[in-house]
Amino acid sequence: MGASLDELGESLGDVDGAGTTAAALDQFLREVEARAFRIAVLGIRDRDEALDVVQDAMIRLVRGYAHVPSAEWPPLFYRILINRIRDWQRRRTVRRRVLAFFGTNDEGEEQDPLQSAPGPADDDPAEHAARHQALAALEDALARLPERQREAFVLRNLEGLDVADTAAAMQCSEGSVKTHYFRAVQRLRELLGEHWG
Amino acid sequence: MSNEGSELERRSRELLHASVAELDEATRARLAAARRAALAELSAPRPRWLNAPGLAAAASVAAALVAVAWLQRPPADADAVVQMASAMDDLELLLEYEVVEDLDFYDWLEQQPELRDAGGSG
Repeated sequence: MGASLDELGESLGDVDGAGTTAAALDQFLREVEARAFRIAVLGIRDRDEALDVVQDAMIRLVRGYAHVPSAEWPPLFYRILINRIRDWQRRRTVRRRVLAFFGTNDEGEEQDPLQSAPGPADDDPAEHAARHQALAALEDALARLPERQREAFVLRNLEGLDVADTAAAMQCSEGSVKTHYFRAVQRLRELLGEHWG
Repeated sequence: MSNEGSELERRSRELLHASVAELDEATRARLAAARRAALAELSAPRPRWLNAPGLAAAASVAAALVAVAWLQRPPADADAVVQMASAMDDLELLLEYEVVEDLDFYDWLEQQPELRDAGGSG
């Protein structure tokens, strides 16, 4: 499907510069792709759709921002990813409203991500089951958060972005990020209290 | 209170990172394929005309016209609504250039020497 990094560099006619850019982009995307996928799954709750969204975000980053300094890629990539997730959610909302108005729905299309979760790893089955139960509770609680609160929480906690980069990714002020994050933690504490208390 | 919050954050972080580490091989392979497909874009520069600022505006106007037409004459049955929703999705894709960008035809057209020369001399 894709060309090798050397081929990419040669095809651009500047083996050193283009090859370096391709290698740096490859390394960056390799580092973030799994976490980006988890963030997309938490927002979309459908693994196939989440994969499409992540691939789209990767393509948009490469097309639009390969030339910018690599230090700027993380907030740019997550900004694109968050926008793609929002777009997907918006389309789903519109589709549901339209279909609900006419007495039909597409609820069956939504999958519980846990149903397609990977099988047990090699660790202790009881511990693995307990962890999956806790993760299920967390995913359920995150799904019940307002969109902005969930975004702030996963970008800060899963991706480890600082407040400034989270604000850039969410296209809001740093103060808003702090507010969304604080409220997310408060709400999660309420929702998870009985499971994690 | 802050300690409780910190414990929740720590545990959430731990669980989310563990779920990333446990991603199955099939998903990892698909992510790697997605990455390679994205990197292939480096060797496939987009046609210049796609950067025309008027394209997005024209597509927006088209979307608005479809919406107005639909509001003025709503479809009569559910099938028509589904088709309309699908059409709106297609229009959104057009707005985002995705469909247009993927049309190999335009790429081919731009690379035809006789057409390029004709455009340059005329």
